[in-house]
Amino acid sequence: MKTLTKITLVAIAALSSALTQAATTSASIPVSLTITEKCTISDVSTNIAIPNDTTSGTGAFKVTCNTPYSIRTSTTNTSDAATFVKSITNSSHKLNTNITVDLNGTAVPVNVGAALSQPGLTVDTYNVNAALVAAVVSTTPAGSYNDTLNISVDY
Amino acid sequence: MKIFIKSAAILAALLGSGLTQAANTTASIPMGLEVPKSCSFTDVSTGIVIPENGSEGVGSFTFQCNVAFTSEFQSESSAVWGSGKSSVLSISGKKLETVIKLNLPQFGYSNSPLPHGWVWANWGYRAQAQTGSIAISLKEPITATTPAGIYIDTYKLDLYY
Repeated sequence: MKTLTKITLVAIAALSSALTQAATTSASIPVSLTITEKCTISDVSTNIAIPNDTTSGTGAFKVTCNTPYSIRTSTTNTSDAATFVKSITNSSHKLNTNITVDLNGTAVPVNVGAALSQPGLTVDTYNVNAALVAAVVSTTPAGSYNDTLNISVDY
Repeated sequence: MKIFIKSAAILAALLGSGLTQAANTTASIPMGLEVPKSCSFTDVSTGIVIPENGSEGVGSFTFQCNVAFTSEFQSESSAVWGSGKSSVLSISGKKLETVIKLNLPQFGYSNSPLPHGWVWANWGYRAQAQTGSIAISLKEPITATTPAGIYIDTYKLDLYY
């Protein structure tokens, strides 16, 4: 009888323990956000007026990227790395130019050279300078001369 | 002598009757059932994807308890990363703060913003399964210079009972 009583008490204690034991049930939901890589070219000068002497006409543009990028430029009129403006009425009339592009003094290649790498995450303002190699003289054919600077950003 | 013999015979007959009288022995087996306390989750969303455009990403869940319970819902970012604010974190360590809303109408939450993405509450027994949802959005819109990449957090649902 004593044995039976003891077993009964142990069983009750075990049941009681099971009923009062703290338990936890958990679940979790992963949360994610993907920000895609983006670059924009903005505030691009609508035109660069090149003076008739050898001083520079200036322009600018901004590049904003949320990821590292590289930038290179090219001109529509180029030959063997030389750049020039061309008469819109007579394509044989050409005036050689010096075109430079820089970011705070760091040169961006124009037509030739390795692209300039940048870390991004800031608004980078690039300056463009365009000048004639030789000043217009009295025998330079009159007319409008033009070229185009093309900007390419890879990211 | 005859009288003695007769008495002895009667006594013997009586004794014999006593020895053959019907007896009864009983036993009993107690029966019972223990219903263990339990809480369970079902239909838990596999993920909450927060859109870049500032709108909400939503995940849902269903749970049921057969006992009174305490719920603790919180984002890992606020609980573990120690910022006290919910956020998503990129591999490079960039944090973007988030706003977390709980929709659990049976418990009085109707797209209610959760401070720090956390809520703790005691609840009595509910016979019905409870279905809720979590909506998460960015607190501030991303900008053109917000680093690209994958940002993560985990929303944790715990039931104590």
